[in-house]
Amino acid sequence: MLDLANLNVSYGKQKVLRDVTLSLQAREVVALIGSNAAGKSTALRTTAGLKKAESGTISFAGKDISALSTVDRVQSGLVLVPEGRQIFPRLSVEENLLMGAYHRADRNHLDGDLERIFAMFVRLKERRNQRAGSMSGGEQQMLAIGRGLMSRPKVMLLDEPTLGLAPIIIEELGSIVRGLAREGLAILLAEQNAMMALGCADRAYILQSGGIVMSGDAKQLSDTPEVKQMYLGT
Amino acid sequence: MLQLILGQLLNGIIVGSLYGIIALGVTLTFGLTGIVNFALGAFMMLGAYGTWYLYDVAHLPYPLAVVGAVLGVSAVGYVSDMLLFRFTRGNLVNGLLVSIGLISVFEALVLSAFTTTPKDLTYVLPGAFQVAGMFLPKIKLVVCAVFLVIIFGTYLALTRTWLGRAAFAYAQNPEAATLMGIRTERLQTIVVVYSTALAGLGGGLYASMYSIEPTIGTAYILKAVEAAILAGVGSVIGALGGGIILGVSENIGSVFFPSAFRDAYGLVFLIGILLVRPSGLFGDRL
Repeated sequence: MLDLANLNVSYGKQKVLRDVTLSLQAREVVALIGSNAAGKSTALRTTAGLKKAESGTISFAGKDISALSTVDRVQSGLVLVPEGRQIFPRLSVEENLLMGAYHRADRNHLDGDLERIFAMFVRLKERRNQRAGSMSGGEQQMLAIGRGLMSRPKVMLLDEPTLGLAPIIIEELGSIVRGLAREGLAILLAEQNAMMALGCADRAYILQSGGIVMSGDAKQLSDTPEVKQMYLGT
Repeated sequence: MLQLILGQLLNGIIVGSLYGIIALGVTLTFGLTGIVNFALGAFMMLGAYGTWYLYDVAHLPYPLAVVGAVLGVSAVGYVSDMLLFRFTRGNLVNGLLVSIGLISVFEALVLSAFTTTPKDLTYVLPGAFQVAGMFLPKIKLVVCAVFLVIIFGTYLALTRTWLGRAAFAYAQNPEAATLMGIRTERLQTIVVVYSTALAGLGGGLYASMYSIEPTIGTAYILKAVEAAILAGVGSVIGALGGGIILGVSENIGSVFFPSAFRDAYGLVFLIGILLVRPSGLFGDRL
C-alpha cells in the first residue's frame, strides 16, 4: 500500500532521516517508534509531502508519488493527522470535520460520513456546534482523527496521537486505531509511547537518530530485551 | 445641538463604513498572506478614477461605471499579485515595500493621465430625505447600504461557502489547511484580488459623494488599518464595526474639540481600546 525506500531527509546540514525503508500493507497498523527527535515526524511529514526528501522514493498504491504535492497526495487517499492535532480552533467541530472533505467531489453530500464519525466519537456529536478550540486535548485528538477520516483515506499517517493525553484516553485511542484497521484502513502510527503503539500495531519499526535499527512483529519486538529496556521501561 | 450631533453621527457611520470596506480587505489579505497591503488605498483611488472616467467621460450609467471600475481594479489587482505580491507571502517587510512602491506607481500614473485637478462626478443621485429636521442625502444612504450588504455578504460567504471556510481555516492554520487538500496558493490569490475589488468598490462609491484626487487613498488606507487593528485583525464584522467606531469618534469628536485634530480622536480611541483589550474589540470572533 505504502512503501518508503531509502529515504534521506535533511534540515539544512542536519541529516534527519538516513536510508529509511518501510512498508505498510492494507488493513495493517504499523508503528514507527522512537524517542524525541528520532525523526518520526519528519518521516511522516515527508510521506505527506510537507517536506522534500533528498533522495529515495515514496510509493503509494503502486505509484511513485515522490513528486506529487501534498494536496495531490491527500486527493489520492493519503492523509496525515499531524502532531499536536492542528485543528481549526475557531471553527465548530462540525465545520472542522467538513474541512476534512474539502477536496472531495461529493463534498455536498456528507451527512452519511458525519454520522459515521459521530457514531465512532460520541462526544464529538454532543459538541458538534461548539468551537473546536474550547475542547479538551483528548477530544481535539479525536476530532483530528475524525477530520482525517472525512477525506476517505486509504492510508492514515498518525503523528504522536497520545501526546499529552490521559492514560484512559490513550487506551481508547488504541482501540479506535484497531477498529479503523479492521474496517480496512492502513495506519502508520508514529509514537513515543511504545507501550501503546506496540499494543495496537501489527508490525513495528524502531527509529533511532534517523535510521531504522529494528523491525518486525509488534509482539515479538515487545519481548526483545533492548526494546523492553529502552522503550518500555521494564 | 442634538441635531448637529445626530448629523455627525450619521456622517460618521457613512465614512466609517467606507473605512470598514477597505479594512475588510486589509484584514482578509493579512489573514491569508501575512502582509499588510498598504496599496489598497491606491486601489481605492483607482476605483474612484475608473468610475469617474466611465461615468463622466464615457457616459455609462453610474452603476455600470462602478461595476466596470471594480472589474478593472480587480484585473490590476490580479496582475500585481502575479507579478509582485505572490513573492511576498508571509513576509511582512517585503510586502510593505512592494505595496508602498505600488502606491507611488499608481499615483504617478493617474497624475500624469488626469493631472492634479480634482474631479467631481456630475450628480449621480441628487436629493435628500428630511427626517426630524435633518437632511439625509439619498446618495449617502445608498452608499452606506451597499457597503453593509457587501460586508455582511462577505461574512456569509466566509462562514457558509466552501471557499470561504477554506480561507478562514487557512488563516487559522495554513499547514493544516494544506493537509485538508486546500490549494492554498490559489486561495491566496483569490483573497488578494477580492480585497483590491473591495477597495475599488469603496473608491467607486466615494467618487459619487466627494471630489477625487490622486492622493485620496492615503488617508483612507491609514484609517482602514487603524479600523482593522481596533476591531481585532481577522474579524469581518469587526472590520465594519471598527470602521464605524472610528468614523463616528472622529465626527463626534470634531463637534466638541477642534476639527483640525479629527484624525487624532480616532487614534485616542484606538489606544484606549487596545489598553483594555490588546487583541482588539472583536478579539478572535469572525
